[in-house]
Parts: sequence; C-alpha cells; structure tokens
Amino acid sequence: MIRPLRIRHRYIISCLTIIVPAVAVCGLLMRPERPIMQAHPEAASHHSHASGEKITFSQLKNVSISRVGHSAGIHIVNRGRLTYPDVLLYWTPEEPTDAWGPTSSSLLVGLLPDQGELSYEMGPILTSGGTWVIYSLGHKKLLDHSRNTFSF
Amino acid sequence: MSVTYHAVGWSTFKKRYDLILWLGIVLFLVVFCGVSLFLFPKVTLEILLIRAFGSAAFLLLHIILCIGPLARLHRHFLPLLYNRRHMGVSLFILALLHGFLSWITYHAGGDLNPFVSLIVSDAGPGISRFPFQIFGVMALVILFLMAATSHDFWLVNLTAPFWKAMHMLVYAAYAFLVVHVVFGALQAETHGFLTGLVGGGMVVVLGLHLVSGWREHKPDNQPLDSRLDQGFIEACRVADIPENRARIVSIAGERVAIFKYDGKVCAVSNVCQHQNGPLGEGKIVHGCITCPWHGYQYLPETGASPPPFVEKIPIFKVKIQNGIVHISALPEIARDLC
Ligand code: HEM
Ligand code: FES
Repeated sequence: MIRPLRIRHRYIISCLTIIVPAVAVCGLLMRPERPIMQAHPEAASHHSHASGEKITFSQLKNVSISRVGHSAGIHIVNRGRLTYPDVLLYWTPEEPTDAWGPTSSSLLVGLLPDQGELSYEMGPILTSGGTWVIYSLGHKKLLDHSRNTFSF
Repeated sequence: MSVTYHAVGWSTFKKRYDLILWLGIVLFLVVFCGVSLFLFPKVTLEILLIRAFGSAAFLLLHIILCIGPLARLHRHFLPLLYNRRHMGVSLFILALLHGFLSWITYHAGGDLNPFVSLIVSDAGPGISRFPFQIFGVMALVILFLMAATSHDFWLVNLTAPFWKAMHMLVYAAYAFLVVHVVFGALQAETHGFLTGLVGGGMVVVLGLHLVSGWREHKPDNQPLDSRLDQGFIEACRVADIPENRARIVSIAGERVAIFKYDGKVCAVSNVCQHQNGPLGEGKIVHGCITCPWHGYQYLPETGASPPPFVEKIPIFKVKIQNGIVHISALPEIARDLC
C-alpha cells in the first residue's frame, strides 16, 4: 500500500473502532422488553387449593377458569379439543357483541390450551369485573364469553 | 506484468485454495443446519437456509477482513491474500442467496409490492422497530460492486485509485452488517450466545487492524533522516538482507525495498504497480523482483517489467560503504530496458 492509502486506511479504522461498537451497544440497549409467557408460579402445585370460584362458558362446556388460591392468578382448564385456529383468551371491560374483535381496552391473556391446562398472572384486573372472551384469531370470530365474577 | 501471471489465475494453487474454501463453506452450512435442527426441530426449511447463508456470509466477511492485517503481521498468512478475491466472490454468492431468500420469504407473499415491503416493513410496531433490512440491502449492493469489479480488467479500466477507494467500501459494508444483525436477529435474542459471537468478531477484526496499523504508523512518521549525506541516506547493513530477498526501509514515510541477489544490491519502491502490493515481501524469481501478491515482475536494475510488459517502478541509487547500504533519498524514474 502507498502512504496516502495507509493513512486513509488508518483513518477509516479509527472511525470504525469508535462508531461500530457504539452503534452495537445502542442496538443492544434498545432491545424491547418482550413479555414471556410463563407458568404461574403457584399454579402447578397449588391449583388443588383453588379458591372454589369458577367461571364456565355456555358454548364451550369443557372450558373453565378458576382462581389460583387468593392470588391474582387464574387457572384455565380445557378438557375438550379446539376446533378453531389460534384460540385466545381475552379480558374486556365491555359487554361483547357477536361481531366483537380485540379493542384497545381489551387485554390479551394468552392461549387457550388444547386439551390441557394453563395458568396466567392477571394483576388487579382480575377482580375488576368485565368479561372473559374466547376468540379465534385465525377466523376473527368470537367463540364464547362469560362475565368475570371473581371477587376479593 | 509477469510472464506467468494470468488475470484469472486458475493455477493449481488457486484451484486448491478454492476447493478448500468451498469445502469449508459446505462444512459450515452442514454443521449449522445440523445443530439448528437439533436445537430447533420445528424450524422451517426457508428460515433454516436464510440463517445458514446469512451466518456463513457474515463469518466469511470476518475472515476476509482479518487476512489483510494478519498478512502484515506475519508472512505465513500471505498465501491467503492471493485467494482473497475468490473469497470475496464466494461471500457475495452466499449473501445474495440469503438476501434473495429473505426477500421472497418475508416480502413476496403480501399485498404490498415486494420492493416497497422491503423498505417499509420494519418501520411499524413489529418485531424490529428499526429498518435493519435496508442495511442488509446496502451491504449487498457494496458486495455486488466489489465482486463484479474484482477482475483485473476493472482495475485497469477504473484506474487503481478509484478501484482501491471503491474496495475500501468493504468497511462500510461491515459496519452496515453489524447494524443489520444487531438491530435484526439480536433484538429477539435472550441468551447472549449470538451477541457474544458478534462482539467477539468485532474485537478481532478491529483489534487486528489497530495493531497492524499501529505497527506501520511508526515508520510512516519518521522524518527524513538527519544523517542525509550528499543526497544519500544510510539504510541497512548488507549482511542483514537475506539472499534473493529484501529488507524494507522507510524514507520520509515512503517505503523502499532493498534486494540482495547474485552478489549485488538494488533498491526499488516497495509499491507494486498492479495493486500496490509490498514488493519487499516478495523475492527474486528468475532474476526478477516478483510481487508476493499476484506475481507481477520487475527487473532489479531498471525497475521495468520484462518485455512485452510495460509496468515500471521507481528505483533508487545504491552506494555500499563498509558493509552499509546507502540509498539516494530521491528515486529515479525507471529506465527502459531497451
Ligand atoms: C437484500 C438484503 C438482505 C435482506 C432482505 C436480509 C434480511 C434478513 C432477515 C429478514 C434476517 C432475519 C432472519 C431471521 O432471524 O430469521 C436476517 C438476518 C441475518 N442477516 Fe440478512 N438480509 C440481507 C442481507 C444480508 C447480508 C448481505 C448479510 C451478510 C453478508 C446478512 C447477514 C445476516 C445475518 C448474519 C443474519 C442473522 C442470521 C441468524 O439469525 O442466524 N444479511 N437478514
Ligand atoms: S502483483 Fe498484484 S499487487 Fe503486485
């Protein structure tokens, strides 16, 4: 390499040594917090201690939601098979109609299990009334709903 | 130019290097796919291939970037330098496969025009909130320009300074790809393995460049020696020059290669006319100074390439006193042989 090229080379490398790690660190710091679906800590071992409060549905008779102890967790049991794609459980403050779809005020709880059980942490919303909605995201269809009657 | 040098050098050596290169690439792809299928058995074929080709291309870029400084630090790495162009073209092929597969997988199936989708899809509240794919496209364009002009035909027609400047864009491509990976794949990574690999790669690439750059910085900044005597400067001891090889000295920042051969000593510019390769790291072959990079040859007495070639390098007058080589501080223009 000739001298001007070596000098240009050194200049480029010095700039890269500052810019590239700085950009990489920014990128890592900007990583979004992603909620990760986890089993409710109490659920697996304690759901026999369920408080007794239970919510059932009129169409999907195999599905029930019970409260985990006296915590803000819920335990969902589905003894049947799902016949719709992407079936999700929502909580929503309003009374849903047949044409209901997720709104900005509704809260996605998580997947509805297929012949299985799942638990979710709900927070204070658990006892604030509203309605549980079972919704097929694949068919954009409300499958069932039931009032939230959990109380303190 | 050398008599034996061909612009496309499919010599046995090059064929062997290419074979090793592609065996290495295939081995990497097979191991990558095998480990991915073991860890993520549900991965789809297209995602597997996108990741395998992207990772292979990114790794190869790291290797290519390390060869330059490694060859400066130790001559054992010089042979890799000769095969760097073929590595560059292989890198482009892998990157193209990755880019094309990503494009048809993520952008060709929707309502939007696939080109528009490539540009606008990262702007929304999706997985990546940063247009990381545009950086991949920009890097791919640079890699394409470099691969397409890698042939000597372009070096001659675009002129060496323009060609060199264009090929320095590889550093921009590297920076774009770090952005592409950090703001893309690493955004969803939770365990830190890939982050560690990208960080480690950055330390190696930048570290090697800094170390070799620092080594070269010192001689570059030496002022014209104060011991300048009647236009001559003391360079080195004859005994320190290996037979048929050279010692490189620096005069006011420019390098001079002092060769010893057949009981004679000559001094020429260290810079090869082809791609500025370091002549002083080459040797005398068949009576000619032979560039270690691609084999261009120059006659030591005149600095001119043997006929029919027309390249010339500057030469320096040499005086030997008490076993010490003195060279003229200013070069002479190479003289024609005939
Ligand atoms: C048209 C240009 C390009 C497009 C559209 C593109 C697109 C993508 C996409 C969508 C991903 C995420 C894939 C996933 O995580 O499943 C990705 C990852 C990646 N890309 Fe590119 N890319 C382009 C160019 C490049 C180039 C030129 C390189 C390197 C030379 C590269 C290297 C990588 C690497 C290393 C990853 C991470 C692979 C992994 O997840 O294991 N990309 N790219
Ligand atoms: S022969 Fe290519 S740089 Fe010398």
